[in-house]
Amino acid sequence: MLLEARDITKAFSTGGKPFPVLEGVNLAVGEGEIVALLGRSGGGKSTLLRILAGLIPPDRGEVRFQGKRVEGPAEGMAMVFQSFALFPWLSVLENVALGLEARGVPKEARLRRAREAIALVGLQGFEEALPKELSGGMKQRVGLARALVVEPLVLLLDEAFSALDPLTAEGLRGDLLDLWQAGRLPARAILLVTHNLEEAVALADRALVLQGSPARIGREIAIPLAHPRDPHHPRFRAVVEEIYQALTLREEVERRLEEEMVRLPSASVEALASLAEALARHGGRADLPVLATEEGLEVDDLFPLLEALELLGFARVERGDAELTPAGTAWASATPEERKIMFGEHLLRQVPLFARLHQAVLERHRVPEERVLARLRQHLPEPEAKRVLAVVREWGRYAGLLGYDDRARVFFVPEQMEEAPEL
Amino acid sequence: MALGTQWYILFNVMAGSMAVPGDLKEAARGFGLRGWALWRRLLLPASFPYLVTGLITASGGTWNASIVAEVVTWHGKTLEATGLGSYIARWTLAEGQGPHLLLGIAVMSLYVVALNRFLWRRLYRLAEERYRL
Repeated sequence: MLLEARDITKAFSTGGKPFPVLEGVNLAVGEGEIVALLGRSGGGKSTLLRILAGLIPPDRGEVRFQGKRVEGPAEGMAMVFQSFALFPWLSVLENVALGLEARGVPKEARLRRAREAIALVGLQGFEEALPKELSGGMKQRVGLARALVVEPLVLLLDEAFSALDPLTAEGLRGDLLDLWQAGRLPARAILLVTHNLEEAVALADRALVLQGSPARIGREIAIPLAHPRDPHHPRFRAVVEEIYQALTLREEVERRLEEEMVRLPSASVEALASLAEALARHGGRADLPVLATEEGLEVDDLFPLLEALELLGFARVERGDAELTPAGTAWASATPEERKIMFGEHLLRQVPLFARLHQAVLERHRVPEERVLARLRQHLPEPEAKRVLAVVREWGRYAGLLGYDDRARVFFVPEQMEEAPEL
Repeated sequence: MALGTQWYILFNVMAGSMAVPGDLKEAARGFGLRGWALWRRLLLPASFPYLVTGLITASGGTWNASIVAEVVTWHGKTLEATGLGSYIARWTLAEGQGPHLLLGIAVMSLYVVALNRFLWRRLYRLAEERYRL
């Protein structure tokens, strides 16, 4: 095995409280394969990639590269970043030569090899350009050349195509695959992290799906399709569907909901209503890939919405399908006024956090935001606590359950509530 | 003067190197960039705008101090150096010498404007165009 991870565990501590991200992750990448690492956003896949690359140390477990334990940035691996991470003051040539410079390669050899790498990714003539003069796709070609020039055995792609528009991404993916298949890449394995299922199925021989929180490798899905792969071919679709299902396993969703009763998903009420309406148009049940395409969303955008609908008891997600509950169907077809009231009822019934906060506001009339935040911090790291607080504000205000004073940063009882606290 | 103004530069460079974006730091670390190469390729260029700010503040402070220091009255003794500061100070104290005073101030203003135009503004433009993150 070229690259192996054994029992990797990692937690980040925020404010002294450990927040586990990865728990007992095992994986192995062999020669000649492209492996895709998939998972929900914030699910630990980028962290895992950085641990494999030796950029951050694991809390427990070990990474072995060519049989040797990885203790720091490993020479035989190179990463391509989502944000390109080009040095804006260096020319394309200088950017590409950076890795060689760090290794003490003499100037002449370094420039020659950098030019070769630039030619390999099809950027001849742009050697002297500054990154800001390049389009996104060209910038990422520089990122790729910079990684390839050090002749890594393992090429690591961290959402490398995610910042590009779909057409550019497809072009760059195609070029990379052509180079790989023609044996023109120094790398003998590619490990890519992505949230784009189609990208994973288009490139990889094997997909590893991270599940849970903290995450571990939940499923391994082989992708035994011949290249070139046609994204419309039924077998291609079947693999995409299989991965969708692995990402939305019933027990997985339930466990997450239980663990994370306070971790309200980031979903605007407007987006929730629009998704419920879309589901209703499909007769109350729709395939997730279809739904995502129709709403013009990425999987990552769809999940918090579905989680929110599920939390409120308006929908269920099962085996890659989303289904409206009777309450959800009623909500989708209700008038705006009725919708507000139903939303409030469901919030109080389904979300303990809201029930408690609403009770506290009714009793004390004013509850400082800081107190709510302190409560959230007991379960969540700081940025998450703040994010959830924002969701609480939006949902609470919309439902007419909570008033919020921006200046004093307190929650209070909205006026129409004083007389009729039962709603 | 060096004692008083080095802090402007030091603190600005420190602020600058702390402001280096995480992905660039990570890329540099991944490629094994260390020591002088790391300073030359990442830390100094990334903190260049901060460095210019530090230099301007420092030079302003220095100039101020040096002009004031041209006339020192201490224990009844007056030490005086020849320069713009003492020139302005002398004609401020003398009565009815408005035109001289005006000349001194005009020359000083001209200095400041020229310095801004030909040095600092150029450095700022460089910082803006080449070293902006």
